[in-house]
Amino acid sequence: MPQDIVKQQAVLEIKHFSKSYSKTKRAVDDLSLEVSAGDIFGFIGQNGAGKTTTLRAVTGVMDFTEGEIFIAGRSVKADPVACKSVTAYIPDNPDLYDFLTGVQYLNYIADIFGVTQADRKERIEKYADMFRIRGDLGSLIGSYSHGMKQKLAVIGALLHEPKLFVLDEPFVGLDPEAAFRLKEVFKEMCSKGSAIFFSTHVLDVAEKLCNKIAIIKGGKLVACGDIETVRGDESLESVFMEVLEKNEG
Amino acid sequence: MKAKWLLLAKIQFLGAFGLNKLRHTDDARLKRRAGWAAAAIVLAFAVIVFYVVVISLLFAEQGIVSALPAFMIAASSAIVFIFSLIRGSSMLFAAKDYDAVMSLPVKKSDVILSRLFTAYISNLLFALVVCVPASVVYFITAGFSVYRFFVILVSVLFSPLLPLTLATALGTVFTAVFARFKHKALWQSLAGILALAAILIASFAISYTSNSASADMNAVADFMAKKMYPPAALVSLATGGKVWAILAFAGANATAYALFVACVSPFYTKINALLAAKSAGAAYNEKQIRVASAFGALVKKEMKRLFSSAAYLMNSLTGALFLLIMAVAFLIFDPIQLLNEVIAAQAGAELSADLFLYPCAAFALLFAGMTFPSASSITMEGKSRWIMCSLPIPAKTIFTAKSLVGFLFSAPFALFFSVVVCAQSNAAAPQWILLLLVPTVYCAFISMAGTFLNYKFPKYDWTNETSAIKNSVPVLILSLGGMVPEIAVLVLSFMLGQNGFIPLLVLGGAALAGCFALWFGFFRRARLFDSPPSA
Repeated sequence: MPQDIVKQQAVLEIKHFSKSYSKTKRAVDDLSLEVSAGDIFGFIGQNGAGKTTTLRAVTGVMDFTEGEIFIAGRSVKADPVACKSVTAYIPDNPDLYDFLTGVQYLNYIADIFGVTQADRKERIEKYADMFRIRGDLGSLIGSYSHGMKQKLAVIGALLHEPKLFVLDEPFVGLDPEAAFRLKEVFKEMCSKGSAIFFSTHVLDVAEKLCNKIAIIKGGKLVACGDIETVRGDESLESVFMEVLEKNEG
Repeated sequence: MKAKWLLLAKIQFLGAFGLNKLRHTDDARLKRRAGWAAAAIVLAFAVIVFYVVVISLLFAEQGIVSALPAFMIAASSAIVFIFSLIRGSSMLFAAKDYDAVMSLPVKKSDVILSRLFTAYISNLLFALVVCVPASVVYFITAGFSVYRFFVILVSVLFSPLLPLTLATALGTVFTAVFARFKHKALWQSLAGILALAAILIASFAISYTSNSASADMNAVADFMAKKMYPPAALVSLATGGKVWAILAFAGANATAYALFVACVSPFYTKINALLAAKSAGAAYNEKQIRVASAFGALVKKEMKRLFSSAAYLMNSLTGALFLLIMAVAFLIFDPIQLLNEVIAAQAGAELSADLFLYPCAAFALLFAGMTFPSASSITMEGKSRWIMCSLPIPAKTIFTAKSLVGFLFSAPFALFFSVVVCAQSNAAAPQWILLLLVPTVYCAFISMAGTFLNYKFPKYDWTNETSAIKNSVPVLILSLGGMVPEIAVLVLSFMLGQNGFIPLLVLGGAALAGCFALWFGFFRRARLFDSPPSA
């Protein structure tokens, strides 16, 4: 369980991060937060609040100039390759290479991350069995359903045992069993000292799964901390609505 | 209310070249890049216009300006046919927005018509680049009249329809025939390239027999108009005063277009369903788990991407395969003897090996320069680009892998062609070195420049592979811009005779400098990021 983990150094530190897509609007404005080893950190906000922008900057997919982001003590700006090598990212709609078979995709990712033959074999088979897609690994990804693509993306992300697992709306499109398995994987990773940082609209999932949450509105962080502290005696849904209304205007 | 096919076509136009995005963005960097791209394309078009004007003036000088309209229509139709055949039927089938479009209350013929219309407009633009300057020369030298203007206007507007339709029909047949094949992309590409080669060889055979009688410019123009592209003969008749001929020309073009739409409509969904159907694939077994280096994995993935798309493969292979076909032809026939018969005998002189060797090297550069899959390789990542951007690999490694694939598709073919040319013409050692080094360096430069241009002008939001492969800014810059020095070197190497190595050396040196500049100025320094999310 996340609560039982011995806390280590911060896996992810975001310091005064800002991002603008136009001169008039800031997608994210002076955001700072910290995710430690063993954390399952939920990032909550409305559509267009700045969640995806933050996640893309963390994973080095998107360039930024204002603020700093550190993964395992290294700067995403200065040393992106080192940061990416300990991170795994799954976007909200993981389009994979339709022209590869499932196993070819996994081999590709494992080659890039330098995963040994023995490790990749063990992990591919473990997670393919867990998510029940082992029989489909020889087929082209183009023939997969949305959920199967998502499962394959998750397996690919787990092959190198990342220190930081970043996911954008990971439970959308997954069947109930796969969602349950993914939560189990989160807990297993945290017990080994990794950290999970994910965005979600599903407050119920965040409430039950996360030990820390952050709420973002209009690009600004409006609440952040341990879930018990943020929530108090209320439900997360009530707190979320309250925080949004308080910051209205 | 507008016709539905026009509304569908409008959406496609808005996506073409990222024009709509450009119109509505306030990203200054994007606008600046678009400005540079526009300037490069305008410059390339200007050079093509220059070539067309020079050829048109030669017609006037030879006193055969009356043959110019038919010649320009035949030439632009040939260009439209070749480019449309290379593109195949990819603009019609297996589009990413197929489900979205077909769920709308529109007829299948509307969908086909809209996609063909988009292709027609882009081909018309190319036809205009050839026909407008030639027409201006024609009006100045032959005299302007309203009737002549009417004939030229109608012939130019209608001329892309027939070659576009014929090429698309051929591509559709290949698509339908090979839809069930395992490696359908490869089969479709090979069929298309072989068809193109057969047509060109047949044209050459016809011209060879007709040239035995006379090889002056008048005969060439006559051949182009009447034998190589018979409908152009109607333009010739129309400019001579026969009104029915221009009506027949327009009618033939429009009828072919309409017939194709009517014939394909009943099978449109069937062909798309066949293309969308995926085989179950081999059952997974643990032997499929294999280790490779990171760079090897990148190259392998690029290769698989290339072989997964008929349009991408054909566009990448055409130039290289033509070099292969030419090399094999040179192995079978003695090229020196052949050229002596065709050209030198006309002037009563013996052809020197140098006159053959250096233009051949330039010819290799021209065709190798048409092979640049790297110019679309970043764009082809499309919606999967998050994978490329999140990999723990320096951008230079990713770019090198993309460039290497382009190099592997062009250099071996160019080198094989050069070896055959050198061997057949008993080249001296320095000539061997020149003919092996210059194409290698040039292929490396083209591949690296393709990656660089695609990095500068990516377009990830494509719904049809054709727009990524054929109609993207980097492809236009490289294909049009590349032709400028390549044709210049071809002409100069022929004109300079024994000194024909000079333009080759200059281009080779420039390409080498370009390689170094790209490596130190771009590959080693570039960072790879996704563009901002469109949502």
